[in-house]
Amino acid sequence: MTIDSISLKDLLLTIRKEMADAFSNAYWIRAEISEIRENANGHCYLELIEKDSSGKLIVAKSRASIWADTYRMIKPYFVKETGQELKSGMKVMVQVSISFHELYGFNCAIRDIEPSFTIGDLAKKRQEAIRQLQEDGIWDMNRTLDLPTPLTRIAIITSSTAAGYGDFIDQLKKNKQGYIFHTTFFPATMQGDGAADSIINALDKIYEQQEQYDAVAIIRGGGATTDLLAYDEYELAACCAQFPLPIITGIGHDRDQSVVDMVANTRCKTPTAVAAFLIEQMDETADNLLQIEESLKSLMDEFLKNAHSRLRNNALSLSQRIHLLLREEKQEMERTQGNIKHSISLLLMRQRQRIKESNVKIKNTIKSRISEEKHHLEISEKAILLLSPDYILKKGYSLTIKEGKIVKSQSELNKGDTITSIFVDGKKESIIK
Amino acid sequence: MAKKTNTYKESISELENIITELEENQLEIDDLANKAKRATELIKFCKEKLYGTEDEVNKILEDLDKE
Repeated sequence: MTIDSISLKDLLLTIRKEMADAFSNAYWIRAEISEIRENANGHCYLELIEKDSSGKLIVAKSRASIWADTYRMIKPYFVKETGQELKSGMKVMVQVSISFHELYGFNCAIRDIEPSFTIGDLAKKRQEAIRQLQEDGIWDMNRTLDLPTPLTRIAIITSSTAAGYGDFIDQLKKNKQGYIFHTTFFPATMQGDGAADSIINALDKIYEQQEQYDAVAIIRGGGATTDLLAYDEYELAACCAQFPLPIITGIGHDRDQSVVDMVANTRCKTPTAVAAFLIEQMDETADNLLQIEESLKSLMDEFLKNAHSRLRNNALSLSQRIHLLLREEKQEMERTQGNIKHSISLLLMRQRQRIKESNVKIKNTIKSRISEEKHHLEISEKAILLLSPDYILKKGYSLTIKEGKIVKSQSELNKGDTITSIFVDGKKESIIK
Repeated sequence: MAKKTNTYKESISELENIITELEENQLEIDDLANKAKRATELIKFCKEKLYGTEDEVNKILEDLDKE
């Protein structure tokens, strides 16, 4: 029994020929890169896959290559258009030609690439991340944190190899105002594969000692501005958004803001800008302090000046008041003096008047009394005259005297008694018979 | 450390209170000296937070010289 057989090589050569005939065209296909590597010759080898709608199950897989002469053109073009390097996990639209080689097997040779497809896909993923962050309610959390004052203790996440880091620290520490910054370095991979996890890891470390820092700076100094997809990833962005310390980014890329930039408290373009921002914040704080100091000084000066002038006014008004009081007192005294003088002279006048009046009265009284007396005297005189012995003797009466005494009765007379009779014109003695 | 950050804030608000008291004439002359002393302390403290203590600054200057 003879079986017809051909050699492996013949079979594969047949397949190669058949396939070359059947798939002579080029095809635009959509796929995801699951592996990619360049070799020393400048060729690029990939594995392309397609997943089902759940995104979990791989339903197609093929080798692919970009030959060096094509890759030299495609690579920069793609980077220029998308801002990204070709990398695993990326969805691409590529033009391929199919080939089969008896030694190397099936291969898709990529001849061209459509960057807009990848851009669209990345944008979609990015949008998806943004939507998810908003839906989770964490979108604004870091953005609305207040930056502490003063902002001096900075946790810095960056790559240890970044040349920009040294510049950043220099710029920060040699600020001409002399502000003190306390920086702590947390190394992380800042781009490419694993960047997101590495940064999250650094954030976790900072989180454990968060009370030692005022803010976190995520900076990426230098290097190509490619492969920054990590900053659009939901996990990293969510971690930043919920971080309890304000995050300041300086990731350094020219394209649109990354999602991390969007959720961060403050977004700066470059590490240099972050340093400038931090110094600016300190300027503000220092200005504020200076203002407080100056207004305190001027207010205290004013207070003292016021107190001083108040004191002077008081002293002044005291002396003025004393003067016024003295003047018033003097006036009062003068007035009183005047009053007293007046009163006294009035009193004196009245008194004098009264004396005068009294004098007159006394004179009058005396006069009238005198005249009264006179009158009375005259009357008495007359009466006396009428009663006087002369007057009676003149009338013819005589007085009989015996032994010097007036004889009032005849019984007093005895015979022989000598009596003397007194007449108006003389006396005669006689003897009783 | 977090307390220190608060203290800067507290210091500033205490300073602002003193300013308000001065502006609104609530201060007695007897208090002025005390308040002035307190304000000076607070400002010194705040400045240290911004510019470091003298020791710290000197150390940094030394470091700069070495470079």
